Amino acid sequence: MAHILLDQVDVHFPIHNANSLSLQVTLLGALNDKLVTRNRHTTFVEALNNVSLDLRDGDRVGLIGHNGAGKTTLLRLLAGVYTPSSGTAQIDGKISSFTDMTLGMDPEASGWANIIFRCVFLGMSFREAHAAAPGIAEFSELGEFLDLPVRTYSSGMFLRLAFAISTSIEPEVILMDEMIGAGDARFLARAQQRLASILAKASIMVLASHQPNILRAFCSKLIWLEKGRVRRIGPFEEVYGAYLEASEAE
Amino acid sequence: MPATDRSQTLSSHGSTTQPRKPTRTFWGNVGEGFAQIGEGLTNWRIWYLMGSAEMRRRFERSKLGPLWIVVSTGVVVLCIAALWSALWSAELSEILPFMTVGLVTWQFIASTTGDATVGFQSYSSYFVNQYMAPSNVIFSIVYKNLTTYLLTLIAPLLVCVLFSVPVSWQTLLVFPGLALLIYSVFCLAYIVAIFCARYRDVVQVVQNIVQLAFFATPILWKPDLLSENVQRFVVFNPFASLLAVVRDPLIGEPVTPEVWTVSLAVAALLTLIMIPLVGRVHRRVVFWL
Repeated sequence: MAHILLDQVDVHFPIHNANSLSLQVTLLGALNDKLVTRNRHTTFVEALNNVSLDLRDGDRVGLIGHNGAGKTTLLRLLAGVYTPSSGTAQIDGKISSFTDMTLGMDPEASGWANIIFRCVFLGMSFREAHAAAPGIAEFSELGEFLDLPVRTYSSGMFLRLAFAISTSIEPEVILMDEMIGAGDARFLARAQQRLASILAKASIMVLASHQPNILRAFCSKLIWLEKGRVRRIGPFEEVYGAYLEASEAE
Repeated sequence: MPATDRSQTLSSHGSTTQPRKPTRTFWGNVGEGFAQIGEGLTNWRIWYLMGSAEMRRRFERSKLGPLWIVVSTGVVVLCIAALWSALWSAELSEILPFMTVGLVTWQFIASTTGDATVGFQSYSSYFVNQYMAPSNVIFSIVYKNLTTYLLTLIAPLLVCVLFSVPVSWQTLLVFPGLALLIYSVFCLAYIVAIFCARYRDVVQVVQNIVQLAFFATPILWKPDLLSENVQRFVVFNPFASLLAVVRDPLIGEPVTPEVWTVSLAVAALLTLIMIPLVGRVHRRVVFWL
């Protein structure tokens, strides 16, 4: 069973602009304190601040908040991309982040080759990838196009392939930045069905979205982030009501 | 690293707090450094795919594909031969194996280092979307350049055969030499990639150093052109020694103990820098991209 436990987690970004990114500045700073004191200050942005969470099996969590509230940072923290600047993050379970479904794909290679590449990036061995390929090909409905280089695909076809591959695994923890979907109306219906089935099997899902009806359909819990802090966490309608109220008051 | 105790935190709501950094000991970093390299090794499938994708991009839609590497080094070898025999009427058997093997070996060092200067930056979309060990990138760069190197070696080896370079059991020393070269280049690439991601000026610095090192290293000139006083110092050029451990066995010349010593010392030194550095910063790389 997957389990996510965040205890007073901060994620602070160092901002390396031209000033602090250059070696010269650091060296000069060491030599002549007065000249570049200002540059020796690294500016940090508190992307997440004192976030504590306890997500357990069965949790379907939505993330709401304005742009820059920390939704994407929180997803990346859960994905293991960022480590906390302080506090502890304990994440147990096989995680899949549906934020970029095309990672590892190569436009110059054929559709079949891309199925193998992407599957390996998702953690399969080459043998497992080859075993999974026919099923993925069938779901993608790309047929003979799979023999062609992916660069010849329309963007819709490319996304269909990416979706088919990325959803062929059954992760325990699913992270999404906005709801995913692909293709024309008919494919979209099948995609939604497939997504619903892997979501049903997943232990924990975290979805960041700006669309209330999508959040309402998929999530039972809501985390309201504001300026990097958890403003409120709780049952969907309760938190959403408070969020709406605050938004209207502004 | 900028001094953390003086760092300033910009909070979006105005309050200022000190970020607490987890402190790790030197030996903790060493442990993490080794763990990182180990993790990279177990991810061989991923960096193999990353490296071969790079190769594919380079030769996309060309008929000969990577064979172009063999062809173009062949052309270079012919040009050097023509030039040198016309200009200096030099004995080609003296100079051609030396230069061609040296040149492609140098290209391996230089292009790996060059790729490393933008290594992490060019894979930033990978780093921010899912957890990936930074060492994957270094392994993929070395893999790609090693493949290229082995292909470029074909023409120089033909030259060696053509001029019937003496083959003896000493020729086998090329294998430990190659292992030492690859390992050192891996360490160098990792260190370069880290500094270049953090300090973007280093990208330019490294490119300049590599360019200068090409002239300061006996590749297109032989050390015996130098006066004896200067000759003694050539071995201390780390590039010269790392080149020699691969080149000299191939062209039938003995590898001097000094060359082995310097090469081993370079590899050891690079390890001593790389391991704690990697352990210290591997978690921060994603913030620098």
